[in-house]
Amino acid sequence: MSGPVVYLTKLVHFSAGHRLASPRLTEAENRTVYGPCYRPHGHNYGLEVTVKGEVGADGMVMDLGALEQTIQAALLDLVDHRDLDGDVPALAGTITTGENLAAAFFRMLEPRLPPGALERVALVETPNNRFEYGGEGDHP
Amino acid sequence: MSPVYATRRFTFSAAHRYARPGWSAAENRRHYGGLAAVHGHNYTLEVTIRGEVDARTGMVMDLAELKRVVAETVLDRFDHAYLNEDPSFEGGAIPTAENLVRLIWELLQPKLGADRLWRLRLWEARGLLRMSHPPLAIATYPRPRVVGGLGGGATPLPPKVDQ
Repeated sequence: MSGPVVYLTKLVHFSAGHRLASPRLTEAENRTVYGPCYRPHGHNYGLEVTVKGEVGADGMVMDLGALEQTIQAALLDLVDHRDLDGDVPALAGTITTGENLAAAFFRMLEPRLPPGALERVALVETPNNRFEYGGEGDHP
Repeated sequence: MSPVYATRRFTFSAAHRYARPGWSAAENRRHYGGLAAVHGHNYTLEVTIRGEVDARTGMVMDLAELKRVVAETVLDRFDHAYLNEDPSFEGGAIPTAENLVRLIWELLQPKLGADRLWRLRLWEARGLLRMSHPPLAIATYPRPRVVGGLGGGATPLPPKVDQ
């Protein structure tokens, strides 16, 4: 089988609380570096999960329902309506910036999907801020 | 290297017209139609930076710093401006989205660094999902958007529909 390689993106949402504070910084430094993000607050996050693969005989790269269930079980059940800094063991020790969350979510999802299928995770923190991670190398 | 891409969205409003200096008003009108008249847009600019995450801060770059740089370099210059009168377009080059996005790239790159500035996208309108009609123009520079999710860029969140 050698169908065309197609990228498929699923958009999901979750709401969670967090604050930005680095244990490597003093309180004064944290306030300077993170500004208002140092205070506990929350977001309605958007998450775009992009998978890639050859279009199979069934006309699909991946069953979208199965992808949705995987995202739900591997991620959303763990983070939706949680405190990202305290309630999510997989994020223990992580400063919950958009950058780190995008990379962490990529690593949480990758082993639950077929090898090589996960292309990129994009975390949309606010309508103005977006963070993308695709593992090793550039993912333009 | 496992880079993270951080995108911040900005908006500004500016006027422009499409007209070649050597042409008469009628010729410009014939060639460019309504675009030959002075008109304006609410532009959306997306700035994508790329880099490794700083372990100390968890960030690629302080987005507040990015905001300051873009405000000083781009917004102060082009917001509520007549683009045809900007020094860069004095020779008669037309401030299309394509030309403007390349100009903004040249302005931002020395301040943000060639390693860090990854891509600009410029809409002559608001971002895709917020619009009720197709975008007038999207100029992307210098990298194409290979895959972009739902409209690419800092996608506005559509309202969640509860069944």
